[in-house]
Amino acid sequence: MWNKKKIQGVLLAVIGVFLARIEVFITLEKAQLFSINAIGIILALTGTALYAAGMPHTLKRVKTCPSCLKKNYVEATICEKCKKPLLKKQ
Amino acid sequence: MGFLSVFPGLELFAQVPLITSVARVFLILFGFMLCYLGYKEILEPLLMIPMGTGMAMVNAGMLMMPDPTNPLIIKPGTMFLNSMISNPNEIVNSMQVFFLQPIYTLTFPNGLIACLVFLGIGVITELDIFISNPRLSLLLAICAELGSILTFPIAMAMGFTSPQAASVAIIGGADGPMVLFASLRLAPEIFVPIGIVAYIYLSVCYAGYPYLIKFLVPKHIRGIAMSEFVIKEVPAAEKIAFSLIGGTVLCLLFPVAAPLFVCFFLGIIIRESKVSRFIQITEDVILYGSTLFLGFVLGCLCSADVFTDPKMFKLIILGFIALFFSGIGGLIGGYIAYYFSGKKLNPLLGIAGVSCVPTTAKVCHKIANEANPDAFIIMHCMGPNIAGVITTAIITAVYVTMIPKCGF
Repeated sequence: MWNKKKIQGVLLAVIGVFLARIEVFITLEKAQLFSINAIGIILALTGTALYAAGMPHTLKRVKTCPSCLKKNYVEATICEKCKKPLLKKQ
Repeated sequence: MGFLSVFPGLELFAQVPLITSVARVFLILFGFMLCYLGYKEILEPLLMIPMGTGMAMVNAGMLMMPDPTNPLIIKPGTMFLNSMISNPNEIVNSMQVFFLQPIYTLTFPNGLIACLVFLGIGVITELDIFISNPRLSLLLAICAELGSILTFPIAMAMGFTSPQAASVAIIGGADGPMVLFASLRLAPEIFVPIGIVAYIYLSVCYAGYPYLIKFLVPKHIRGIAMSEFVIKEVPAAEKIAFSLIGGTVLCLLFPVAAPLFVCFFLGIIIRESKVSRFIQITEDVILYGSTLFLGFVLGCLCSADVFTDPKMFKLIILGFIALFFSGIGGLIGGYIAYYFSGKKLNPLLGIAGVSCVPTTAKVCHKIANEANPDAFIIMHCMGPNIAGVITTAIITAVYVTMIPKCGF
């Protein structure tokens, strides 16, 4: 589902890509081109991060298996991978 | 001499310059040592066992043989591979003689081996962990790129051209496939020594960073047990959509590095689409198969003539500088986060920002756990670790795209 953050992120990324590839449309000096490209790259990456921030999520507490370091949900008593007991508190 | 001629490998010691013979003996012993340290898990075994074996054997198995370009010239060589040829006829002839030549020719110069490793990294990457705390992860990962940034001007000051300097600087990102990809695109003439130095140092991270951490971080701070890790679970469809959008944006920004991005995001999409057969083949066969051949071929490329190249010494120094500064940068980032979090965050997380998935995260967890058995920080470390891969990929892409375009 699209939300405000995702739409803003995509728009920012499009503007960033346009600036990063501006040499396709106009001819510029190397120093100017470098600055505009750098701004474009930063905008596009910020846009992608903004899109990521708009993704829906649920929060879950996890703990680590002391033997195999596998991620397990906090309710688990034995490790999903190695079947060894998990510590109650981490 | 008559007796020695029974063993061409030994006879060659008398036929080549003394420095080459000394380098051969040193590399054979060095290969044994790498293999042993890998076996003992002091260095990264996945890389050091094939690399050490290849290094020892290639230097032992030298003989006088006809030059592939001119069969009338007899010179020292091996039956492993020849990385110096570029003429299509010579390549085809060499593929029928040298047993590793097909793997080298078809996967190294075009960067395929780096892309295959990156595909595997994509499959083992848990985006949820990165998304759980992206700002902190990215801050730490950016700080841990200090070596990739500072080494560039240092390498230029040491006489390297800008594309060569950028290729060496990427060692600071501690991501092997990136180093290979950048050097193949920017400075193919020094790709072999850079690849060897990079992979040896990446393995040294495993053994060296604990000393750096113990030297710079007091025990009571190393042992900070952080609060329980809360993961943000994002639906698989959302992660696939993000991978498609993120991958497309990065490919539009950095078309030269598009093969790396496409492989990484394809790996993530395979993982999230839960196609078990693809996941199994990518993780078990492609990732570990590529790592095996990468280590072995790099070891076999480490012959005495490469090692005695004057540039090698400078590359060894620069590789050390790059990884040292990245470690320092990571710890600076870790300390910044430690103070801003009200001294609740373990600063070792910064070192995990030096990508090298998952080695540095495991190193940090192990050291924290040694200092305090209640400290389980592996999940906290994985966020900066994954962010490290992303930032190194972006810095590589920036170097590979901007340096030829802006003509530094």
